[in-house]
Amino acid sequence: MSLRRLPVYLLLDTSGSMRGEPIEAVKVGVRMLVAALRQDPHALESVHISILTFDQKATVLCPLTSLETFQMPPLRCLDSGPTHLGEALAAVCYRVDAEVQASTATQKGDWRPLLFLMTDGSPSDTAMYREWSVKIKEKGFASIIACAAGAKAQVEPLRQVADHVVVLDTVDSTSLGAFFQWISSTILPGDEILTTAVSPSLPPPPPEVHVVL
Amino acid sequence: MVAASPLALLKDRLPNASVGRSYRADIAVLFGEHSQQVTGIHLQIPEGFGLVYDREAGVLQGDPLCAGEFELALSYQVACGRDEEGLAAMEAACCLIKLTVNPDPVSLWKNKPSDPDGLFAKPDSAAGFFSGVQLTTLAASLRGRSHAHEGGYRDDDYAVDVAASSGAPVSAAEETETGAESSARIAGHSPWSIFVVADGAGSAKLSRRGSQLACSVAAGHLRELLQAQNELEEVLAAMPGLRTDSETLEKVRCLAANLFTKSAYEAFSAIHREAGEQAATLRDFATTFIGVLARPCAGGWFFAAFSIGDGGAGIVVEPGRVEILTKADSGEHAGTTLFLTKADLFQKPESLLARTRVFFCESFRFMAVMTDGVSDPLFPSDAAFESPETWAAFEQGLLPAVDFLSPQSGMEAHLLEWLNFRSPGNHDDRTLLLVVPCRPGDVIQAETEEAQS
Repeated sequence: MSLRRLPVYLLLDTSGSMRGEPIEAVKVGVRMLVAALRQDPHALESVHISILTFDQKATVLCPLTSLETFQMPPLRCLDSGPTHLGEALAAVCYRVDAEVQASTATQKGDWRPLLFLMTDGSPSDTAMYREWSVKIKEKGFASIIACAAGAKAQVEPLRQVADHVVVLDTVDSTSLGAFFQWISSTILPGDEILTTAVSPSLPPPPPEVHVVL
Repeated sequence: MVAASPLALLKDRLPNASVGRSYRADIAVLFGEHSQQVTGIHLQIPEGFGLVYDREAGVLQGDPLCAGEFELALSYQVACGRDEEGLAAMEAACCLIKLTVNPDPVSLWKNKPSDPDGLFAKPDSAAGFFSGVQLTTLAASLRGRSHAHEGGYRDDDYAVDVAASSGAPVSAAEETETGAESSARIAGHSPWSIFVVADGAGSAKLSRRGSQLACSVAAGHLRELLQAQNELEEVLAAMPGLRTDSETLEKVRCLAANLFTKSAYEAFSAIHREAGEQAATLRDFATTFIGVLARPCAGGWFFAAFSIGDGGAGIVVEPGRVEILTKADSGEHAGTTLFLTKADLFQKPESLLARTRVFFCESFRFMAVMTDGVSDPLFPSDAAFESPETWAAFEQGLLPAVDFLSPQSGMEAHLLEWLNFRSPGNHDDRTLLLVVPCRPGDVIQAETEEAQS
């Protein structure tokens, strides 16, 4: 019998501005997220993680992998360059089409996927971003949560894509740690978010994470 | 002692292990193409770790005992050409190899009781034995692990109202005042048995009450409609035997659909009123609904079923032959379904008719009505739900808990225990009704017992 998977997509900014402490903080954050999920029995049996990064192009760093076998891939930043968030959304859409199993007469489908998006800037490929921020809505995500990290991150474009946008004042390990910890609590409560038809309500965020209403 | 850049090492992490599962990893993967040049590998493993390094085979293997992130000291020698005297030169190296050991999910589940004094509190499990004049029913409903883990309530519910020997129904709702007196109070003779199960949506905060209302109100209303003079009864009574023309069959289906629709709407209205009183929304009470009616008829048995959402009901007529009474509403993804609380459902009469199925048979082995907590793990697809083989396996699996030939009082507790079976990824509430025809000559007992723990 095939297991129903809960696909979790992480879309991470690796553009030049993330170099140094920010990207290190992201690495630590993702590790904390994975460690926290591994302590939850339901997550351990259902969560599958995929990591995509974006800078001047979108890269699938890790295809959808079970939480059990997941290993953190190396995250690297470019020196500089544009932030192709539109291309990244397109890449996520392609991955969902290829990886997320829909229900058929002979097989139960996966749970609806979740998407977490983190950027410290704004999309440079605006036309592509406009196009794919619409198309991504048709991919059946149970929830899309976007994180605008730091002073230069723009909230407005993220609102076009995400059901929930959160803001971090700074891009350091404290605030990113709090963000990823909080993400894990939005994935954890089992069928609270797994079951659909009702838009999931989020647990209260920690003080470092501001939810944009 | 750790070399700054370990020689010949391709990566410093082994594939993840899991407690409770055998592990085997080839150490050569760490060196990739350099593995031929590496000799004298030694891997230091803490005692009681459960894994051993087999030098001969070059593999780390065993059954891991502790979960966590570990670093194992690896030492080895790398051939690096020949020295000045023409001998093979070896360089020693050592480093730390990372290994993640996942916990066994079984060890992580917590079982927190729900708050018995909370709003719409409900026992974490319920079971019942219902012995009627023609049918015996075992019922069990168990809170799922995912709810137990959080101390949440059981969102499933059921109602059973079987035709008793006195002709009066015995009902789950009246368990506290059963006995000859209360049974006799209910007027009239009815050959009908009523079964309802409902599964409150995990994402809806008051769905435990939604499923409860769906069961009790719909079962009660069905009983009322069936006690009164009704056309379904008349058409069935006029049938000479089981063979019937398609026109009559369609008529029977429409009449059954009417009864179900009225009762389901009654339940919907009750939920609507409750939502108003609680200043909550209909969505907060989201629940699925499966109702089945059964009665003897000339030449055998008549069944009618109606469902909104997932889970299902089926009849094993004889070994190798199964009749499915419901069609699950399932979306593209797991957990996507339809709920009784969707207001516009009742504005589409043709879709309500399509939700109704009727079935006649001479005899049957058993009928099962279940929520998706049971059907998902045991009937993993719509095709599997229709397959006699899967039903045979289902019956076989139940044998340790249930004697299908002569179900006895007390077996409901075994059924409840059985419902706790383990199935990775399936931790929803589980509710199962098993309905078995009484064989001729069975001692008829008009009793009902309901145990709640």
